[in-house]
Amino acid sequence: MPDLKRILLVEDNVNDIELTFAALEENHLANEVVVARDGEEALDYLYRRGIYKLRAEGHPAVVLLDLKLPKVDGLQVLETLKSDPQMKSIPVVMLTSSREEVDLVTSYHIGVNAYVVKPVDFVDFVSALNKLGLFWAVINCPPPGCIASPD
Amino acid sequence: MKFIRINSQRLSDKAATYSLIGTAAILIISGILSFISTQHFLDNDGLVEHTYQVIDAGRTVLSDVKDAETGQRGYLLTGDALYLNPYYTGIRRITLDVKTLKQLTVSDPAQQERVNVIAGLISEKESELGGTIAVRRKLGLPEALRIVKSNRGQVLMEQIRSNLAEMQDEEHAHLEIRTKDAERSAIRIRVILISCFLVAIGLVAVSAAFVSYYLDQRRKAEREIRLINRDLESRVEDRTRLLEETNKELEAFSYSVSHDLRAPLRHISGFAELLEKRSSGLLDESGLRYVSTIRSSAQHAGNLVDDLLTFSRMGRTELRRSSVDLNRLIDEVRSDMAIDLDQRDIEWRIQQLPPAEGDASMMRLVFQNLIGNSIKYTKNREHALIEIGSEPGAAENIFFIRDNGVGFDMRYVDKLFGVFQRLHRSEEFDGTGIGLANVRRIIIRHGGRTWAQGEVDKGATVYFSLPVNKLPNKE
Repeated sequence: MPDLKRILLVEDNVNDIELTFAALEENHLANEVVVARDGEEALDYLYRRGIYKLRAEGHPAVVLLDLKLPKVDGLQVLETLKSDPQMKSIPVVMLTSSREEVDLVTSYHIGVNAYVVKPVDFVDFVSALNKLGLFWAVINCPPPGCIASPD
Repeated sequence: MKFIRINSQRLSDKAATYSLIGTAAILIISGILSFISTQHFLDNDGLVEHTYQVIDAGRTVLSDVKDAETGQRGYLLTGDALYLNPYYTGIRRITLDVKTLKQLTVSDPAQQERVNVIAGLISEKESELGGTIAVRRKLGLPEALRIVKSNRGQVLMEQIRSNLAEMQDEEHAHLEIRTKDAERSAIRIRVILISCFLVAIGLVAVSAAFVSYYLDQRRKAEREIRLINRDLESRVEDRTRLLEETNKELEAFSYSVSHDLRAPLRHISGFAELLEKRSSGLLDESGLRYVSTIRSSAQHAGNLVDDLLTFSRMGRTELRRSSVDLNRLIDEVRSDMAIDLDQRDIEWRIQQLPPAEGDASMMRLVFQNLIGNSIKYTKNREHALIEIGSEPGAAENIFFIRDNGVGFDMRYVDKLFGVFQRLHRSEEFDGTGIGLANVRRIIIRHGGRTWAQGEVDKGATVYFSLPVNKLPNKE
């Protein structure tokens, strides 16, 4: 059984959360998924502050980040992470509906590791998440400091 | 907005032209008059001279006669032939001098008459003198004196003198008349010249007035034009700002559509799928079909959203010009579609295409649509044939893509490039009906045209043209 590493899913839409979980479950990747409902919560989690003050140390293997989020939006979270030497090694995958070039350009400019557009069809979505999850959470060697086993 | 009156200008044009012509005419007239005037003076000088010539000639004739008489007298007194010299000289000269006098007065009949009379008298005088001299020589002084005492010679001399005097008077009289005429004429011409001068001054003043009026009008016109220009410029600025704002709004709108519409579509599709999975046992065939329809509809809606966004963007974004290698573009598009081509038997005949000037990503879209269509509509053929070629021209190059697919009915060819127009049923061939509309929009922006030919069940050819070298400047 491969080591399952933690995934941080930053998504504000309840339906999208449910669908993503369903897709991850289908790929048996759902064990270690933490959900943040907005940018602020995401940063709180990563910086171990606020409600996440007492969580165990270690970074997630990958952050699945949506663009449109309340309070602090996706690009701001990305900017914060990638400009922080402590955080910038965490792999961030943009997982969003937008295929607009401006978003692509900005995200890559800030230093996103991957940009995946959520397909409308669910089957395609499952397949995409499968490949995503498989790569980032299983095959890819995360930077040292990631949680190696379930909490 | 004010407009400059043109009617009054035409009138002033005429007036100005006339005053200039008038001035020129006056100057010419003055010149001619001056010329005539000087000519008169020259003529007059000639006349004066002529008069004195005549008078002089008359005196000469008289002096010749006197000389002859003096000679005769001398000989009569002395009997010495030496004293006859003046006689001979006089007689010799008389004929010539009378001839001269005659010639000088040839144009005056009255004078000619007098000359003839004088000539006659002189002739008589000559015989008288000659006769007297002969008598002296032959018969001696007393006889000769007797002839002299008859006074015939004296009378003749008087007559000659008086006739010559008459001629002189006549000439003087003529001269005076002519001189008076000349004076009068000179005064008249002077008056005319002064008037011409004044009129000319007047016309010049008038012309100057017109010129200054014109300049004034011109300056006014220029000021108006400048004002109008400024007004137009500010309007253009306003409109441009408005357009830019509208564009920005559209941009924001598309972004929102792109992002926010897709999410619910995704949810529809996703939960339908989950529903299907969860209730496969509970749903009958129809139920399953319903769920499947929900999913495919959501998918279709998603495609529509994508296509609409592309269509909108193609109309708004700037054309980025560069030289495009179309053959390479086609190769890239084909390799992108490799997955769709996997099971298919397609023969490709692609000619070497001339280079094109245009936006590379837009041209890519054109070929994605056209090649995608050809692949799609030949899907029922066992062996599909897709040709891509060009017909180069002087002003524009024509490109075509031909397939042996399902074709279309030429009666509906006008609808082919319409937005959301489809000529086939969606269950036969899927699609949003925007592909060719996109193609047309892009080609038109590049300054070209699109058209197509087709035959049901035989195939279709889509043509488009691109201008050679130059894109329309308005881009």
